[in-house]
Formats: sequence, C-alpha cells, structure tokens
Amino acid sequence: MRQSFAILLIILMKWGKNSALLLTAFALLLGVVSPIIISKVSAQDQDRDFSLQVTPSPIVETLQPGKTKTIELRINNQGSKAENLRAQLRTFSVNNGDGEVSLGTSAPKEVIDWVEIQNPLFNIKPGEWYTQKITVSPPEDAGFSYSFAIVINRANPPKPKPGQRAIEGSVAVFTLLSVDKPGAKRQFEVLEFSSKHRVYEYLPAELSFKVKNTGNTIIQPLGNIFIQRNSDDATPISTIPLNDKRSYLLPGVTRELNSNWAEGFPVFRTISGPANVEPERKLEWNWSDASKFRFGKYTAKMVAVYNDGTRDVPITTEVSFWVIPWKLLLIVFLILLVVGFGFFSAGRQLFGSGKKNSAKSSSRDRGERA
Amino acid sequence: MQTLRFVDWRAIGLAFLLVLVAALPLAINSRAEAATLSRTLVRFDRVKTSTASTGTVCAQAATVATENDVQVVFPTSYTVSTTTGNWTVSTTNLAWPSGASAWPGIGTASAASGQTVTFPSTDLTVGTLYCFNWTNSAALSIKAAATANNTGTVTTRDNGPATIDSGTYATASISDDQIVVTATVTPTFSFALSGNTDALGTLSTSSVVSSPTPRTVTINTNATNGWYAWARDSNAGLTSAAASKTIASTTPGSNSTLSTGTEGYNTGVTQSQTGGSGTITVAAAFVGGAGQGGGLDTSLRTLASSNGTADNAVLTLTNNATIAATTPAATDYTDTITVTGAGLF
Repeated sequence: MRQSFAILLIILMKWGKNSALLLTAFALLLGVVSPIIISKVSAQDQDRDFSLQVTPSPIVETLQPGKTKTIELRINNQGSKAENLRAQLRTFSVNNGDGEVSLGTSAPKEVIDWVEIQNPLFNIKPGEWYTQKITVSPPEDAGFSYSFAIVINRANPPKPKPGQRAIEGSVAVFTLLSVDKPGAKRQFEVLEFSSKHRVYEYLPAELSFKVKNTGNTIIQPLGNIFIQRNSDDATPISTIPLNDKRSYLLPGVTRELNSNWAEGFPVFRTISGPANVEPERKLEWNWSDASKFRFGKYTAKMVAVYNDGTRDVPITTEVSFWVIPWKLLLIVFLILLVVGFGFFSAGRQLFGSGKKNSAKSSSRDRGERA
Repeated sequence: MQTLRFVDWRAIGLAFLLVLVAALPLAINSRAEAATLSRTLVRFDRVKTSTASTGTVCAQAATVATENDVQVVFPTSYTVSTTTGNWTVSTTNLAWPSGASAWPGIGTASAASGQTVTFPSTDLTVGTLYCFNWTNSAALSIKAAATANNTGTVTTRDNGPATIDSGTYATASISDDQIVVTATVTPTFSFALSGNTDALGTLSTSSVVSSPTPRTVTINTNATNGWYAWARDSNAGLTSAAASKTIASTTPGSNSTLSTGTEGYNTGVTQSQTGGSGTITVAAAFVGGAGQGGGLDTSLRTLASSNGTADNAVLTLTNNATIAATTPAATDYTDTITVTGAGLF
C-alpha cells in the first residue's frame, strides 16, 4: 500500500499538469479492485500452535448426595510454547432426532453452585502435565443426573491486529454425573431394532437399535444380539455384544446404537481411503473361515438389559434378514449348466455315433445278405 | 355284490377304529392328567453369564387340586446348589407382575437335585397368580455361555406326589462385554490447532480469496464413541471498525459457494485420517471446495464429527471471502474464529 502511494507521488511530481487525470484513473482502479488489505507479515509474527491433550475424556462419576468428591482432570501441553489457560463450565445438549451434540456458551446453572474448578486459571509449560482438580459437592436434595462440559482455552488469546483473522482453539471435556440416591430410576425403552437391509449378499449384516432413556439417571445399555436360524434355537450361531462402544444415555435422550454381524465367509471389509474419499468395501476371502459360509434366513434376537438398582431387567426383541450370495450362486449354477451341457453333448455324441455305427453296420449286413 | 358288501364292512371297521383313537385323549384327560399352568414366570435378578443370582418364581394354577409342593427345573448348565438350606425364600413383592399374591405355604426348599429344586406349598386357588423369591445368591449361578433361549419348567404337585399343572419358561444369559484388562486405559482426547492466524490478504471483486495456508485441526483419541468439533465466529463475519462494516458470514447453517462480485464470507472443511475406527463426517453446511463452505456466526456450530477412535484425524479449515464493488475499503477487517473439540461419551 505504501509502495503504491510512493509511486503515485512520483507520477504526480513528474507529470504535473495531468496529475488530476492520473489521480482520477488511480481512483477508478481502486474502485474496480476495491482492495481490502489484511496484513500478512504481522500475522506470521504472532502465529503459534495450540495443542492440548486431556484425560479422562469424558468424565463419568457417581456421587453421593451431601458428600464432596474431587475429580482430577489431567491436561498436557503438547504445543511448542507455554500456555496460560482457563477452564470454565459450559452447558451442552443432545438432539433427540439426529443425536447431534450441541455445545453451549453459557454456564450450567444447575451445578454452578456446587461444582468448582479449583484453579480456573493455570499455566502449563510445553510438554508438561497439569492436574486440574474439580470439587463436586452435590447437596442433599440434588437430583439424579447432571451433565456439562469443562471447556479449556487460552486465558488471554492474542487479539487479532487490524486486518488479521484469528483462530483460537479450545478443548471440551464432557462430564456426566449421576447422584446415587433413593428414587434413582434406571430404565430404557427399545424404540426400534432393525436390520439395514432385508437381504445381504454377504456379511456384515448391519443391525441398529434405537433406545430411549426413560429413567432419571445416566445409563449404559448392555446385552447381546444372538444370531440364530430360528427365534427359539437353544444355541446361537453367533453372539455379538450390544453397545460395544459403551455409549452412555442421558435421561430423556434417544440414541441409535449399531452392531455388525461380520462372522461370515466371504465378508465385506471397509477400507478407509485417502482424504475425502469414501471408504472402500472389499470382499475378503479368508479360507480359514470357509465354514462360516452364510446362506438363508437368519434371526437376530436382541436381549438388552438394564439394572434397575436391584435386578437386571431384560428387554427382548428380534429382527430377521436373509443372506443370499446370489452372484456366487449364479456362477455355480452357470458352471453346473456348462458341465451338465458338456456331459449331455458328450453322451449324445457317444450314443449318437454308436447308433449311427450300428445303423451303418445293419445296412451293410442287409446289403451283404441281399 | 359280494365285493361291495366286503368293502362296506372294512370301511365301518376303520371308522370305528378312528373314533376310538380320537376319543382316547379325552379318556386320558378325564383321568386328571397334568394341565398347563395358566401363567409361568421365572425371573432371574442377574442374567450375566457365570453370575450368582437371586430371583422370582410365579405361577397361576389351572387345575382344581390340592397342591403340596412346587418343583422348579432350572435351565441346563445353570449351576444349581443341591444344599437345600441355600434355597431360602421370601414373599416380599419385589416388582412382581401386577396382581400377583404371595405363594401360600412356601418355604425353604425341601429337596434339590440336579436342575430341580422342590419347595413346599399349600393349596393354590385357580386363576390367582402366586409368586415367591429365592433370596440367597449362593443357590444359583447363571450358565457360562451367552444364549437366548434357556428353558425350564415349573410344576405343581399334590401329596402323591403327582403332577397337577406344569409350565415352561425361557430366559437368556448375556455376556458382559466389558474388556477385562490388567491395566487401566483412560479415555484421552488431544486437539491441535496448527496456527492462530489466517491472513486472507487483499480481497477483490474479481475473485474469491481463500486461505493461503489453511489451518488444520488434528484430533487423536481413543474415545470409542468418537468426537465432535464445533466453531463460532466472534463477529459473524469480517468486521471493520473504521468502515463500520461487516462482511457478513454467508447464510450460517447452510452450505454456499461464493460468487465473485457478490459480498460473502464462509468456511469450508475437508478431512483426512491416518487410522482409527471412526468415520469422519463433515457437517453438510461446512463441506469445503472452491469457494464453498458454511457461514459461522456467534453460536457454536458443528463442523465435523466422528463415530470412533481417531489417529491423526485432520480437519482443514479454509476461509473464503469475496467483496462487492460497493464494499467499503478498509485495512482493519477482522474476526476471531474459535474451534472447539471434544471426545464423545
């Protein structure tokens, strides 16, 4: 910019009379391009990385009403420079429709009086670990579950200089607290148990179940999906865990959990591709699993269990699907057809030529007799 | 004629035999053969494999008779204590089915052999559902294998002892999928932002300007449920104090592609990952491309998420901006974007 003005000044001095004309032309040029300058040089000066590791994440704790508990959150500065950090409590919510988690920008009012971050402002040198203590003192009349996020970011992020754009990083740690007291109701309802497809060519069969926490405390549905030929078979073909990711369900929240039955031969494996490329599905032929060739109708029987505080309460539901390796069957059929046709042709030729020969010889005989 | 008469006699004989066969079950039933209990329920308090369990037995009599005891046959492979003293009972209503009554005359088991346990009983009224609990977990342990159909029976008997009513029940045993390890691996989440500035340079009406060095967010986590990344913009656009002007973020919440000469500002996200079980999904509004992305405003909007663990999951954030001929010139257009990441639960 300064260079542009210097050039303009030189031109004005040299051309004197025509300076007004030149000035107008320059202004027009400015109008067309409308330059809005965002500094580059100064941006590089203050640019630096931000890299934190936190553990545990998420934090899941069970509390006793009226009793204080200290939770430790460890933070590691993996960046290249010391960081002055700030930890704050923030709300979050889960959308019942699509399960999207939204992080709020305000403090969670219901816990702000009894959840305290011991050192909300703290400093960590590069490579160092810092243990942040969070004191939780639920009152006697505290409810059954609370959830919020602990957000850690720079205490004094450098303000962007005029013309600069700043990007700040922060890390959130989801914190799920259950208060163990009489009246805690642990229960869920299975809204749907389904197979993604009615017919699969090969495994995996993709099963999903939609479950709603109808209780008042945080739960983790557990159980098994039994793959069987019939609903009442005594021994399942395969047993797969339900909610193998150990997902938590907040009260009132609906969540879809997925399980795959992949014990088959052959079986599709998903291979992650390069950036922004859809993962590739590749058919894997592991001959040691040849006994796991799947064909026909199968029933997935789900037994989900929650413990209501005194006993396991099982919920059973089932869904059926088919595995028909139609391409393989078609190939086998075609091979059989070709082989069968080959035998048929060979037989026909053999018997046909035999008949011919015998016909010839009989006519010869007849001729000889005549 | 003679032939016809012979066939008639044979047909009559066959019909008589059929009637006899059909009537046989009725005759047997009339001799007070065992009926099926109207309702049978055995509920185990724990269903996890190889776990000791207490439980509840319920039955509804179907036949008028005087009961003397009740035999419960537990499913095959369940470990049943043969020590009768372990089979203590109670008639406390522990979430019994609606309308159930305490089992009359029930007491500690009088016999326990194999899978069968015999409890004393007194007369049951037909049509009433009776329940009792076995209260000592030393009495029974769930089988070691997880199976969906584990069947057993409940049989009421008179003092003969002869069977009065009998019914079957089915239960399941489930494996706990908790991984047993000798060391604890806590869930961790790491988040790295490659830099904290993004110099777009000089904006122009003749082109869409994009970040010359797009900043990256790198996420590593062993959180099995995956992760989320959100972003917000302090000004909901590029703001100039000098010009009192904001080049507003283009339609926050939806995807857009900027056109030259039309004022606009958005952020596009692309992704890559070295490994991990998760699949990254860039939020539809922020899918990146040439001049393509979503507008950021002051609320935290989801940029991307993943449903599993992440090994070097990288989000590349490209900011795009363009101006109109009427956009006031200024050198102080600025904003601050905050990107937040978290491991899911």
